[in-house]
Amino acid sequence: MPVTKTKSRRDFLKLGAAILSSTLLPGAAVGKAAENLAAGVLPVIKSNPNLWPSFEKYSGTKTVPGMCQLCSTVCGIIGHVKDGRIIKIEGNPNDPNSRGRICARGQAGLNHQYHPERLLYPLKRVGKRGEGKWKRISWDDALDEISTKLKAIRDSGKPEDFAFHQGRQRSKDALKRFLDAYGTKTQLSHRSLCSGNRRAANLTYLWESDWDLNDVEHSKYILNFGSNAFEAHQGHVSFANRIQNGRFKNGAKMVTFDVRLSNTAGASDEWFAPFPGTDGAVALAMCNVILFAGPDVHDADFINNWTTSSIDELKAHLKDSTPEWAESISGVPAADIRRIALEFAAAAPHATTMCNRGSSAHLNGFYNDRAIGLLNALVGSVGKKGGWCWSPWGGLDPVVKTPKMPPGAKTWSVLEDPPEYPLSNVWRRMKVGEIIYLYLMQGRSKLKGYMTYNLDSPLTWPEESVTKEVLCNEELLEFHVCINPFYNETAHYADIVLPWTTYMERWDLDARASYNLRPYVGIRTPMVEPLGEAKDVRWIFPELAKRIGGGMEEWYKESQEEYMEAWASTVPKNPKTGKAGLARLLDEGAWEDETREPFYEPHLKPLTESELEGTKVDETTGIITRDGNGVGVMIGGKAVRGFKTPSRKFEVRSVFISQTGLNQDTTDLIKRSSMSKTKRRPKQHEGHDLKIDEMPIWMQPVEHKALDDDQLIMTSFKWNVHNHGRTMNLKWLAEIVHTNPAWLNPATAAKFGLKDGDWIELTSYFSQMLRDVSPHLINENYEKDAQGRMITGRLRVPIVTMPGIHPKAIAMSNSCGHWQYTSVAQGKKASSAVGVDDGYVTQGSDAKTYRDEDWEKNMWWEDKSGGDPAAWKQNTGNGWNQNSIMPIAPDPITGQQAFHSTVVKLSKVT
Amino acid sequence: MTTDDTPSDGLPDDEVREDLFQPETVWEDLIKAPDDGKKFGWFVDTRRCFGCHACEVSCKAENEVPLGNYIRQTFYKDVGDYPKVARMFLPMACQHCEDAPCLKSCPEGAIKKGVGGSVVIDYNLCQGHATCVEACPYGAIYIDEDRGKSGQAIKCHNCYHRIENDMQPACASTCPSDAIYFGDLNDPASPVSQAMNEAKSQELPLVQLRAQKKTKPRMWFAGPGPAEIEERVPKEGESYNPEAYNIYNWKESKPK
Repeated sequence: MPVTKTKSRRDFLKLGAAILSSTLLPGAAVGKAAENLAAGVLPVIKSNPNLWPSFEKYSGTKTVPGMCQLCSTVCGIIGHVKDGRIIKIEGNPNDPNSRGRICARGQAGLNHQYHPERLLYPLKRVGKRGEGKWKRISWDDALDEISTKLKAIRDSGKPEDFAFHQGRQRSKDALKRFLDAYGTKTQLSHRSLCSGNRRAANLTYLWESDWDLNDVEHSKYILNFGSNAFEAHQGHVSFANRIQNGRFKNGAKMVTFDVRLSNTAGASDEWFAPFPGTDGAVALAMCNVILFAGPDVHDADFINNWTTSSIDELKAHLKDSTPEWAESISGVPAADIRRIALEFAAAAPHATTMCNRGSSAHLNGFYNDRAIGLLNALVGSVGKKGGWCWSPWGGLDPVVKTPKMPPGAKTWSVLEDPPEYPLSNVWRRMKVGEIIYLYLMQGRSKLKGYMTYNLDSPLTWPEESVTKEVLCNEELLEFHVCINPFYNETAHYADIVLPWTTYMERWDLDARASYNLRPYVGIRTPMVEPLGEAKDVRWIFPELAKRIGGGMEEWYKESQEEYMEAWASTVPKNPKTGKAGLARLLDEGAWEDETREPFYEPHLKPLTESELEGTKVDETTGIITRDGNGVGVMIGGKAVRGFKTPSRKFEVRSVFISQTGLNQDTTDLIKRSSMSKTKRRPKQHEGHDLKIDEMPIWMQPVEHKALDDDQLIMTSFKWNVHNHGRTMNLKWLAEIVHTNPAWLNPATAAKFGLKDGDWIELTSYFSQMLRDVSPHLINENYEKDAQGRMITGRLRVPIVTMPGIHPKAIAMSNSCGHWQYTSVAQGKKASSAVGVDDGYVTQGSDAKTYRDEDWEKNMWWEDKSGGDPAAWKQNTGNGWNQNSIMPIAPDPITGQQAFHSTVVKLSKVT
Repeated sequence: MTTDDTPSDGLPDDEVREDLFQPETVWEDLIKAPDDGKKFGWFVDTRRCFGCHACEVSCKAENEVPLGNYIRQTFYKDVGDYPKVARMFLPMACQHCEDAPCLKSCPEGAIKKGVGGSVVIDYNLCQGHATCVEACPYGAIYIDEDRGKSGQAIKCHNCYHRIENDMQPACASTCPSDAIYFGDLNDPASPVSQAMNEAKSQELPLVQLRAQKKTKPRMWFAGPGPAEIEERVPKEGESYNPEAYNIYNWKESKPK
């Protein structure tokens, strides 16, 4: 009998150790799973209709731990497994971060696992690239062909010509092992499409962490700039649950600034819609209020002793950033700015800001997030319980140690480290994903081998047309291998497609920065054997390494079982069960190091005598060093750890960022921070200088200063049931949200003579600011309008009038508009696995074994308009891809894609 | 999703479809809860709900609910005019009324009280007449045409198959916002009792939906959701339907 009632953490939940040893040897079980499935319908196992729900449903089930991977929050899950099949997914109460809750996406994992159109067999292209013609091939043939190509690239002496491009990936060790063993550093990511600016702003202040973990559960005041934590956000369920505890158990007030009324904004105590991109101006005006209100309001001790600035300097710096100034820019009333600033300060130190793409995915996003972070310093809530916290570990470290890794690859590529973006790669590899296809098109790089993994770039990258053009071009991308559990838009442009296991069919140790402010580790396990011939990279990479040879195979000597055992070996014994290491994780699903105190105020930690041995103190700065390497700082006569920055303080003024912008030598600054992984910009960056302000400032993109009457600023958003490019194929989620008409304020709609359901044409422009600052981005193919503005694209969509949006903004969600990725994502009732004419795509699926009669019969939102706008019905269809008109727009400082800064022209379709 | 004869528009707010009730002899035994000492009930804190739909999808997965049909749904409403707008949420399902109109109106006597007073359907008897759909004041029942000889009624059954196995209902156990609580109201240590007591200690008014119909629902709410969104919850003769997901319906209705 399963045991899943919620228990206290101490009285931990013991899961069945149901993992068969055979599943530790992936590949041994090909084809077996299908035999266990009732032929016919998926995913429903019909119980006795007279006994519904069946009392027997949970009898004889095993409970197997795992971790969700439908977003980056990676909540702990439990699979209820019966007769080799997962019958229900639940949250794992042992997971210290998500604490047993999972969202709608996680609950729809069954749709992912047992999708009738899942990719189950390797495919090889037989037509032109992008034509969609395929034949099924064996794994041996696929591996032989891929390894021959990869070996030739490696033997050519230019291993960087092989690029690995990941979407969401949670098998960091496996990827790094393979790419380092191969010798390429060209590992491309989507980080700049996500969080580059927020991370860079945090790193400027802290260096040791790029991730603020707002201690909302213990807060009294939560000031939110553009985070949609109730629907999305990295850390979604863990964070949202704690916010509500902070509010309804601890009495916190929550105020949200966002151009659009998200569920987070709509459920806040107060919501304000600033003009798009002006969050930083509002934040600086609040800083102004807090500074000039006097020492009872701000924390003079923290500002003067613990930051690289001072009250006097900040007053001079912010004297003109008044609430009235901010009102003139943002439209937020000065009286509200003043009131909220004082409320925030009064609640400190139990007060924290939170932010995300709403403030950061802008052309001025780095400065927006710098300004927001400053608020916490002025009220002294940095690192405080209930305040603005962080943790120095992002994932697994330091609770488990990866088995010995190959030395890091030493290559350089303009795609992985574009020299134009000074802060993108100095602290960490944040990279600049959105320029990849453009740089390839411009001939700045060529790739002989390109392997994509869990990626849907044609849908999720800006400028869809550039992405498609480059992916189609066999000269720019000579050989493309796509690894994915479904045939998606990326697979459509591949030469070989490999069927990837789902997150319920494979191994990982995983974790994310925990809101408990201490590390933990969770385990992802094969709850069931992989369907069809699906394989994980933990099997694919060793197979390729063996075939490529040349020393690569040396890094794959352990069996999968030995590897997992070694990796989990530091997990201590549970005295109640006597189990340790991997056995304990299989038993409990997660382990948190409860002996550690939460990571509050680490800068105050006194240095021990041994830490002080052989050190010297700089008389002017108080910085304590040993052989030039930072150890701590003298504050008030005491030797303490300080922040891990060059000044050992919270860097309100950062000399490092301005020097980095100008390619100056920052070696000494880096030594004083003791963050040895931080690197100055390489010689390839010389000549690419950029002026970055040392202080938190605010500036406005030139194109936002004077919008024409028919221009709006476009914003994008995520739904609570979707995760960008990977969930629209799940029927229970697609049923709730499948389409995305554009949100318009009713007053704006009236001005254009529009009502609900009317269609508009949107014309988008390449950024005027970037035309001047980043001319290397200009695409010669851009069409120009009469005023000489470069047009990125046009899109026709219906509108919905919504009271909750700024009148100068227009919002369209992502996740919609798929044209591959199963019939479900395309909103087509007939299963493409059965009904598509060409018959090629279906080579990779098994339409005989897998069907979903529910989908075939009951799908109700099919668009029957045949593309005629007049015939389109509300709440039907699969929507439109906003990225077809989003221009490539990296913030010049970090490369963060400015999704929310796009200027569009609106015209009514008549 | 609406069945044929639906006179619900004309039904006064404080009345139930007594015209559909069977003679008392049909239901007088069925309406008695088993003498198990338990009183199952629900508490929904709409202040905490952020409309994430996890409860609905979990319910769908647990109960094999076909597309287009719903045992549980969350209703949305945007209240106010720009720039002062808020979004309200109301997760809804069967209220497990003590004086359940569905039970009294079933011509087959197929609806009865189960463990803890749960209102449950006996699928050996249900013939899919849909009288219960006509009678339910909350639109919480639908007819699955594919079940039985001529369809059968489906509604929330308090996940009794999970409770039997020491599990919480599928919706309550997953709720990321901790807005949904279920359990034995007679047990002060149950999740629902604790949450309701905490709400009472904060002096939060606890309300019931359409309480004036006097069906004694076993679901209590805190927060602004019920008062604002009650108008959107289906009524007698209706079932939950896809229109709840139509974004064109989120905003406030124009004043009549």
